[in-house]
Amino acid sequence: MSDSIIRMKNVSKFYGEFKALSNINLDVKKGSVLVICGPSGSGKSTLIRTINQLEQIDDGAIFVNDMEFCSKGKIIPLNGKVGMVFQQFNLFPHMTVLENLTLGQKIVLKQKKQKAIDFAMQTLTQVQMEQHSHKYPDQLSGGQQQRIAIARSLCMRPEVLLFDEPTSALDPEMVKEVLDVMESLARSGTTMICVTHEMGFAKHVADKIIFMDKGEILEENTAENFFSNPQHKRSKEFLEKIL
Amino acid sequence: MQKVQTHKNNSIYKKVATGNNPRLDLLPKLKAGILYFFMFCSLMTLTSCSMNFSIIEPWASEESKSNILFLLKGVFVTLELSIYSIFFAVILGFIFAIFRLSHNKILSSIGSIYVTIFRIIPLFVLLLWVYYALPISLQELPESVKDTPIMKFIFKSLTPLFASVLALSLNAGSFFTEIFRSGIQSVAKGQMEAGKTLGLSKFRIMIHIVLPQAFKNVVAPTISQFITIVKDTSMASMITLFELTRRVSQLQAQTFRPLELYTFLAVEYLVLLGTLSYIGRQVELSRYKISILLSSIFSLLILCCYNMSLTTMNSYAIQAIIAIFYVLIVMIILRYKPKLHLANFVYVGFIYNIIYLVINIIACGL
Repeated sequence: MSDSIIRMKNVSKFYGEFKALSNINLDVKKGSVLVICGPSGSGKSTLIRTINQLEQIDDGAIFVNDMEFCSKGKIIPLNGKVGMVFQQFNLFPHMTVLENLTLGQKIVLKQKKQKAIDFAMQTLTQVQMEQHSHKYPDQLSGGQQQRIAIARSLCMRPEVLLFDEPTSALDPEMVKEVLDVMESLARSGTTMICVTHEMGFAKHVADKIIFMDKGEILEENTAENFFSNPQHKRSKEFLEKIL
Repeated sequence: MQKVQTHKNNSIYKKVATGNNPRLDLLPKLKAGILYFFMFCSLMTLTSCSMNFSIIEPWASEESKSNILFLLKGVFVTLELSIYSIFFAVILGFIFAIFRLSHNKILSSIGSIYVTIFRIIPLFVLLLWVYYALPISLQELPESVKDTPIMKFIFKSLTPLFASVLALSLNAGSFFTEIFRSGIQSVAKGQMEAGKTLGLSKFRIMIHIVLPQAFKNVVAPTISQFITIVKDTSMASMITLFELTRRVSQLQAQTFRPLELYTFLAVEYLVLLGTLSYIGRQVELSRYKISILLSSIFSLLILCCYNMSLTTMNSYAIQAIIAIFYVLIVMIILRYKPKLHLANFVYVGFIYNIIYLVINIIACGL
């Protein structure tokens, strides 16, 4: 029994002839923060979408808490165990913030209404949005919406939170409020996997950084080593370009 | 947009339940009502200077009173036919829209075949076929099939009303199929993905996330289709259904007053459809679209029952029972869905009842 929470074994994924992921092996420890970076089209998003079963895999297996949840032709529902925050927020526009947060709790976790509301208010406090609980998503700014999206996935008591470029659709001044929330989540011991271009955040918070290109993991390193002393040629080039 | 107010957090549900939607304020409705009234008055003054409506004025003579009663009963037949057709067409449209979107090849081809056939056949041709040709083709069936209770029932119920409802709902259903399909497809893919990551099943995603948003997009075309259906009911006069248009033409044949009678017919449709499109406009503007539409369809159905009880039994007891039944159902709905404002039910029921009352008063000879 290991303390890994997500384990990917020889995972491959094709779009027709195109190899989106090839032989990915990955191990995410409980309470750690993993940042995935790489140029666009390198398969970062595909990688975390396979963890969440939004994309089917063509080979290999994915384990959550040492239980096989996903392999070719076999999918066990995750029931919200793996939370996800999208680039485009994807809040439900016809529901208030509170309804967004309680929907999954009521249906999937079968919580009582009052209990669901209480927990939702608790997570809203965590993302400093408790005063907006009655509003509709279109009345909020981008950064606020993204914080609500984070709270929504927290409401499902997830084992892992996945972030798919959470700050890419935001105005520069709103990026910070979202990153602050993510940072405080990381400090409180939430397991997180982030695809992000925010290198400052990665440097600060990540325990481990993965560099991907063309569907392969080229480098796996601690945050400190990755920025000061990158091993692979491609990651050196990448860092030179963006820093 | 709804104005945002700062509530205490623990009273959110209460606030939503009692709610305050400026769209539902009485003032704009009053304004529109006054506008309608003036439009109607000016139309009447314009027309009455060169026309003589005495043949349908209830106070003129016994004969004219029976004439106007004869015509107003046609309004109920038109309403009845449109409500049944709308009801079945929406159901057909919804079912076939789901079929068309299904990944199952057989189901999706059934959906597209239905749309292709019934969108192409003109409604008039379909009406004629259902009323005149369908019974003959059913006669050709072997005796053993004809003797089954289901077939006997079908033979018995092939009345003009049944044939018109069948043809109208098949025709309109094909348009609804396309409307609903495009509405469901217009919901962003990310919404479904978000639902999936919350662990909701496909069915739950459809019910809680996709359909409410799709509904918002289909309100406008659906209302237009409703109006089209009500207008198309006039074609049913050609298969001897005694609705508004047929009654007017028959009276015209007796009295030779086409100018007054056909003007009256046009005004009747104007009032009927003006109300419908006005409600449609309110539904479109409101945040609580589903509730208003549901409550208006519901109220219309109840009104239909009400009307039928009036024509068949003419008993106040039955009318009272139906009224109590209506109130009870509204209470039950509000108990479980507090977001469907009481105001909507009151407002929609109010409009229909006013129309109904006015027609009744006129029909009873003031």
